[in-house]
Amino acid sequence: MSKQGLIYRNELRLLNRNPFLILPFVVLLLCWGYVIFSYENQSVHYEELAAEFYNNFQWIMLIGLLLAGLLAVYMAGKDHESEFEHVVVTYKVKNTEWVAGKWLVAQTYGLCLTSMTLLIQGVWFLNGSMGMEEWIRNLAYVCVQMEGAIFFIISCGFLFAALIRNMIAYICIPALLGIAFLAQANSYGFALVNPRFNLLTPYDSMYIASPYDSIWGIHGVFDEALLHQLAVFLLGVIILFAAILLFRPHRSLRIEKRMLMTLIIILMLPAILVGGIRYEHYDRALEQFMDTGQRYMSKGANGESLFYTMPEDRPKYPFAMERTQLNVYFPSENWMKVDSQLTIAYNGDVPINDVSLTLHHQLAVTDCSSHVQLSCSRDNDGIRIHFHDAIEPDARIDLNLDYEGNIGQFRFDGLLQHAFVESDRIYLPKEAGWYPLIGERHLVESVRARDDRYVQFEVRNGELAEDYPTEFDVTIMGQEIGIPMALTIPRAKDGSYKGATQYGLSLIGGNLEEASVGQTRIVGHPEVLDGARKTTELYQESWSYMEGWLGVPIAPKVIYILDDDYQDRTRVMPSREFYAWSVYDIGYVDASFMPYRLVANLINEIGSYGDDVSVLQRAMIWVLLDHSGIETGYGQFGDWYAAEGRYATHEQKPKGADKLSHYEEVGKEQFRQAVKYLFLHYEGLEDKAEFKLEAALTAYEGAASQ
Amino acid sequence: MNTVTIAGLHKTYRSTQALTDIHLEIGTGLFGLLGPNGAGKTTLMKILSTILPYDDGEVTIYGADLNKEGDKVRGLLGYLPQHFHAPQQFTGREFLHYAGSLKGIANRQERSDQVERLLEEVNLVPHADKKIKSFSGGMARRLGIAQALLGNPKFIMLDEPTAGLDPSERIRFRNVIERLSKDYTIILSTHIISDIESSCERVAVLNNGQVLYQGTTGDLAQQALHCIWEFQVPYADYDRIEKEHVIISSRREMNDSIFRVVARRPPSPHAAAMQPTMEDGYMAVINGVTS
Repeated sequence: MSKQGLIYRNELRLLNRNPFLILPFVVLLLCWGYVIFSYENQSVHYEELAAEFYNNFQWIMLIGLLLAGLLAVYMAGKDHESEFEHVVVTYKVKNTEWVAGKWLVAQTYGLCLTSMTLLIQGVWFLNGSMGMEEWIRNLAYVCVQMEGAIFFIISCGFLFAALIRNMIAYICIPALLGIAFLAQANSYGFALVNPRFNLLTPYDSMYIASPYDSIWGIHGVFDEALLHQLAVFLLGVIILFAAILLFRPHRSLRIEKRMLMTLIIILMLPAILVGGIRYEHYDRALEQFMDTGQRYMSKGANGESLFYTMPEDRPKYPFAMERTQLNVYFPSENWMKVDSQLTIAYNGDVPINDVSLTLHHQLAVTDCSSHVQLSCSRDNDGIRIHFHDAIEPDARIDLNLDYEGNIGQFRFDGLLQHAFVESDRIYLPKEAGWYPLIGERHLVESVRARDDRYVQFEVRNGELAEDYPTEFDVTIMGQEIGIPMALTIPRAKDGSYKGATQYGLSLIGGNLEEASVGQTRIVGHPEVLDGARKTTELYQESWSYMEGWLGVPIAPKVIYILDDDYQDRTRVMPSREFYAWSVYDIGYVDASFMPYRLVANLINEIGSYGDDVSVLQRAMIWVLLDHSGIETGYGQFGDWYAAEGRYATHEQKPKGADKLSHYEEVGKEQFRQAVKYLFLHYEGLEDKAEFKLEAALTAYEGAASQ
Repeated sequence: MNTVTIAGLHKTYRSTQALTDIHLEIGTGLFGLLGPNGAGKTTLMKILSTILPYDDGEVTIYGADLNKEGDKVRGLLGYLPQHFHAPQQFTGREFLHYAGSLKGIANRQERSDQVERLLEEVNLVPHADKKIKSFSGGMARRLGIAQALLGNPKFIMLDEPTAGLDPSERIRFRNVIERLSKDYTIILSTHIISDIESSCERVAVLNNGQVLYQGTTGDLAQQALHCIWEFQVPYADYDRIEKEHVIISSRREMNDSIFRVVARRPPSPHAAAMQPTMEDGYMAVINGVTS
């Protein structure tokens, strides 16, 4: 047996006899036990098992890293502290054999921590709804993340112990982990100064909050995590060699020094190469995001204030996209090629020559033709079509528009893929501008940031509300994409997607299933469908009541259950046809909060529209609270409205609120009818800012008296 | 024939000069290294055992340059440090096997033979399968001696080897190294002069990082010839005598104190010249009062 093997065997024997060795395993077991028990104890799951795992994996991994790092310092320094090292160094043992032998013991221990985590994960994930391939991929991800980080931190422990021969070496481990944690803390850490700091962690942290993305699992981070951890692994080996070189350098053999130096240089090449590739991949995403921020930057203070208060309201456009037929091809990763036939209706009063469309600027138009003579030009996302002969009022124009390009888009410092098409996951939200929208639209809103973030801007998706519904016919061509997909319109028997929608199209593909509650389709990860269905059923009763009361469709046609980060980006596009819910939306349904959410889907909290809209919004909530039998502690709407905290005295509140209260004094039904009238009046306004409560009530009284 | 040659050795710890221009020639047999605390004995031992690097000078051990051929020197070396600590979770036997393997005794049978022989020699056979953490200080010291002797090293360095040993174990130890000294070079660093007096042929005295004396143990005693005095004074004068003279020993007899001091001139008209011992010689050298 080589001396290294001998040292490994004996040091392992020593470690095994250490009664404190078991403590880290007990700590990890308790942590996971608590997580699993808490999850499995729920009667209905509103979050995927894997999501729960990854939410906790990160902090439990940090505990594992801390324990492994401290053990590494102990392994490297214990014989120095006990002075046994003074004897060993007089033996005919090479530095490499001694240090590497003990390092291997620490690595074995670290591997045991990883193995235990993998065992827990593997067994627990068998309860989930994932195929064998995904199960293996998840295990592989956790393995490379945890083992790579442990491998690195153990090497660092040995380096610290070689450099600092006292207790401070132990402090270096939590300090290093603290720095790594700050490096990935996007809101307040080093990543706020420069998001590239995210790359400087011993585990891949290029995601927001959690690597797990509901129906897309960990597919979005898997490949880059492998690359990142390969660089970490190579760096770990280099650090080990540096630690050996620093261990009593005077007793290193010349050949030993040369060999280690050579190996360090040899390993630095692939480490730099792999790290460089990883850096370049992220840098490209960040640059794309920065380009987005700059490209859509608002000009002027008005744009800035609107960014924070409400979506920019678009004036009515005289054209409508009456019919859109799309044949969509995905020839390669993130690349899409679309043949479209559009039917555009002109609703204006005077003949006109130009029509504007919006399509994401990364998608290049390859054909723009019609049976009439026209010319097409491009300016960023805008497509301007000039017809040689003017379009007459009420005319219909058929247009062939073919386009292709890379649809990959990023948000949140390049850490969030906003649009992607890969073999195992697809996300093409409407806001990605992946199909032609009528009019000149702002796909993205961007303003100068008010904080110290690196990119110096904030972005959110554009409102993109449509004036008229469109009849869609979408065919996803080719067999390359073998994953379940869903669109915001239903799938026909022939495999295409057909239907009319005013919302538009958002395409998702991943580990998803569909369920229905009434007329509402629910699309989400199989593990949360039960929970989503239960929540939808809770809402269903309120939707039905509102539809009966207001006489307008309220229940959505489709609900997507998405990861919170993705759901959050759909908020600015209010739609009654399409909802995107996160686990929080389905998991935390409070009867007293539900009326607020229901009304928010009809009327946004719009400060700039003034108090009158706010009174209407509150009046609707009041009706729903009353319908649900929720006790507010107030008998009159006016009192409740004032007490909501908006006005210090009754005198300060808008007169409209009091006037509206008078209807309640007459009777609840009168109040309901008045609120209904106000809502429908508000709905009919092109410019919502023109809503005047008192004037509307006067009109209502006039209409009622007739 | 000299097996260890040290010429112009210098060692500095930051701003402290630990060893200055050390010249020593050591041959086969027992060589004693004497000196007060902080004299530089342990530093010298650590340098010779390749634990510490040195700044300047030349050291050859059995013909091998310590600076360039450290690995070769380690192949010849048996070392017992001043503070010996073996891994506490090992048994005595396990530890010696581990140490033997690290020292390069690859053959299991040969290693077992050596381990058993050394356990016998240091009287640890009854405790060989007990964990080291249960060992007394003396037992741990004996285990340290055993590991130093593993692999039949030609060059053995023992730093305070008998500290913590009871008299019978000390005698046993002396006998062991006495036997080994016939063929090997053994350096013994100790405060216990009787250990060196009874075993070593040659000795060096270090103080403040310098070699003050090197030669035979007999000659060391002669360094104090005509400088050792014994005299009797009233006990009340004890403090005055202690301040004025270098006292080697004192004892009380009734109301008087009898002092043995080292001095070039008689410290008292009634002082009697004494035949110097090795301890007297050591004190004379350390205090610069040689004949």
